[in-house]
Amino acid sequence: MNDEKIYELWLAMVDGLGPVKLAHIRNACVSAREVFFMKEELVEKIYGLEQTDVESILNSRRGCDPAAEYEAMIRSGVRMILQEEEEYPASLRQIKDPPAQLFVRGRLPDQRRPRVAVVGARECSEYGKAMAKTIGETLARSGVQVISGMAKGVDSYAHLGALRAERDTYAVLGCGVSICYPASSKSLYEELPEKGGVLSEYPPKVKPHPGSFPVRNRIISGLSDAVVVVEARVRSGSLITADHALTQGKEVYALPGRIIDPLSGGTNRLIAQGAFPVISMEDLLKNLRLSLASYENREDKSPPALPEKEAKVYRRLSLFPKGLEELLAETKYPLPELSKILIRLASSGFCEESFKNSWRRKI
Amino acid sequence: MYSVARTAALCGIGTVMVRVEADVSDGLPVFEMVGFLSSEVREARERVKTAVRNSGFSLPVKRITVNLYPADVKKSGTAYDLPVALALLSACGYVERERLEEVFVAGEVALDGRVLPVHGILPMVLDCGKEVKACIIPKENREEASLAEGVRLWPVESLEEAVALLNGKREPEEAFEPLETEGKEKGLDFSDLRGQKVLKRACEVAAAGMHNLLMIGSAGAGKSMAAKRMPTILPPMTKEERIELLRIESVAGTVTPEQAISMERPFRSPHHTITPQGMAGGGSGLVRPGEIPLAHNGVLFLDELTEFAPAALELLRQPLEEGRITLVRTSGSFCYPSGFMLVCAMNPCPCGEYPDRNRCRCTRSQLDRYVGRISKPILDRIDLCVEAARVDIASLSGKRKREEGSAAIRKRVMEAQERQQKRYSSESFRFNSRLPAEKIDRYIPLGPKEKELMEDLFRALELSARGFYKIIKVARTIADLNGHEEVETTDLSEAACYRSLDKRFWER
Repeated sequence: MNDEKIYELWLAMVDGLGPVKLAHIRNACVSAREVFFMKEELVEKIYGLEQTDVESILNSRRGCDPAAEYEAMIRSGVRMILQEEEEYPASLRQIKDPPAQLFVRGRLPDQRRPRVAVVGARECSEYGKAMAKTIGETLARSGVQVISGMAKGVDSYAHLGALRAERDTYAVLGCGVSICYPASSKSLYEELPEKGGVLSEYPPKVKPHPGSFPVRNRIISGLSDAVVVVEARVRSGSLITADHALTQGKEVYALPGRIIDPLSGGTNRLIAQGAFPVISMEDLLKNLRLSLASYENREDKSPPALPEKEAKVYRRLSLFPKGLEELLAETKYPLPELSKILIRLASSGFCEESFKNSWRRKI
Repeated sequence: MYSVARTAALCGIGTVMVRVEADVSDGLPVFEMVGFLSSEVREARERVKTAVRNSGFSLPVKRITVNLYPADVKKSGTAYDLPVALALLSACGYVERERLEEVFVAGEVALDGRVLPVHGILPMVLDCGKEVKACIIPKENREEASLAEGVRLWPVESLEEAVALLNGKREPEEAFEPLETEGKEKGLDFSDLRGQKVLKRACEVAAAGMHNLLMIGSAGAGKSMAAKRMPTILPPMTKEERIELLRIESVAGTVTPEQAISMERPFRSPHHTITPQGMAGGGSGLVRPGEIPLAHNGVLFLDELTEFAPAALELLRQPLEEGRITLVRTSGSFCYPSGFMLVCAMNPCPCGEYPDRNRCRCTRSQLDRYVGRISKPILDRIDLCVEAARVDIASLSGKRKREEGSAAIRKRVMEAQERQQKRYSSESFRFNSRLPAEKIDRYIPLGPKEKELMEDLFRALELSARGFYKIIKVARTIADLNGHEEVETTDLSEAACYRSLDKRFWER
């Protein structure tokens, strides 16, 4: 079996062969190993391959040691799982054009436990960040495996929320799993394989390419039972994931927002089109038919232990950041006192400074 | 006949004594000028010849030789015209030689014999020496020169007048009384800023401890407005500070009569396209001081901090650390005092709307590039950072509330500075912002409650060691403003709100 995988890895690494052409090769009833050792004139005869494909197959055969490549991949901690293997996620086999193989650092999602994708805009608002984190954490605490794309913004915060709950979470990349993209997600990239996994349909060293991200979205939704869209503009990649989810027959949830916020335009439209609105964490869990047992509502946590003045300031804060100037006007406290209260709230974890002199509740 | 006149060459903000010798002897009628002269000094020959004739003197048909010594000092500028003219006239017998030798002379001469103002008159007059009886200077430079105490000035308007004064045919005008040192108000006042309590308070704290300040906020939030008003809340300059600065301004040639007598601290606001030479100083021969030295004892304001060329910003390091800037050019090495307060302003992102992602459509890479342009070494030297919030319509259109004016703020600032001076009387520095880290424990001891708060802050705000010390130093200044003997938790909390910019604000 391993022997066959060696050549599958080689075939996956040949330039210009997408799922369609690979399917043609399989229809020709040849294995990757056979293609590797096939006579040149026979390669040319495979139906559906163009001259350039034949050339790139022949070129990549020359001076190539598939066994050494495979060995190097295994040593770098990446595993390759073929569609025909039992470990290959069953839910993924059922989608339209499933990836021929998956490359994994860490584990694959457990098919016996619920899986939910949390996706949204990269350039999200403070509201989006906070809610992505809350949703990620809430779902993880209820035993859900959170799946997302490790992109900046919503994706990262969803992963972070799940990691805060110390549960497993999985990222599907649009590049090879040996490449950390975006580079700023470095810490996530390192932590994810320990708690869950990082996976991709592309061989480990494939560089990110703009076209590969919408394509990987089908894997995110395909692996999951449901998709939650946190924040998305009307035209955005997150809506592509939602479309994939619908064609794959998955449930779609969307987080409602203010109608004046362009970042909530896409999610609000999804709701109008019939997606489940996420109106509270309890509601989300109930719709997902998950138990509330381990769920703690942090959002409405009114800190009863707070002294009067601090409680007053805390009540003025929300998930939407508020400037120091505005807080001064609302509370009528002098600046030194207000800053003292804010710092005290921050050091006990009730609020945080999201930007210079902008404060919001911490959840 | 031989004669000699005293004058001076500028060297940085100091001067080098220069003598102008003139000799009239038999020979072919030529006018020769020697002594390491730059072209504008060599041109003095034509100006002087014509001016002398037009002033009613006639030159003999003889060989005229003029030498400026020491000959190893490059002479540049136009201040040699008058000394050359007077030395020549003296050599021709129009002026008594002994009388010319005991005065100092500087000034440019026009063809009709008028005496025109020159750059750098103050350092020349200050350094002219005790044995000098009087200084003959252009009349237009007298306000500036009058700041040098104990020097007799003979301001003149024409060459003829100078000759008459030297020959005792005319009484020098009585000692020029400089106008009241109380400078005229520029009309700027902090009460012009509506709302913006936090910003104003941060300005006050920065002024009190001479901390460097960074303002961040979208366009039109009042950043420049606040910066321009900083000099109005800083204490007025002392006479020594004024003279120190005037030496620089005089060499740069930026002194106006009103400015010469104003005790208000300078406010320099170079455009972000400025070159390193414009920033530090440049030019061939005499190195003209740039914006950095010209902000000495005052405020250097860099609007749009991220747009400045890195090379121009790097130059700020030495002055921010040492309070002076050293420039090495082909003509020598020059050191200008440059102790200023740095005030910077920037937008949060290229479009100015960050972090409101519903309005800001800057891409991640645009943001990264923007944040990457914030110079780390400069950021490290900025103690206070504050957001200039967008002003809401209520505070603009509402009934004009009495906002606190600059005078009241300045009073508090001066009191706070006095407290600092008392505390650091045995040290070489005078302000909390200059307190070195190793002396913080000695001068700013924290009580148990305060220590506990700092530990909490350190964790909650993920501070660095540098950030930690900055908060303590700023808190000391706030305590000085509040009249607290020891730093209290309120002071520390307020200081934490002004803590330096965190690049993490732009991450993810």
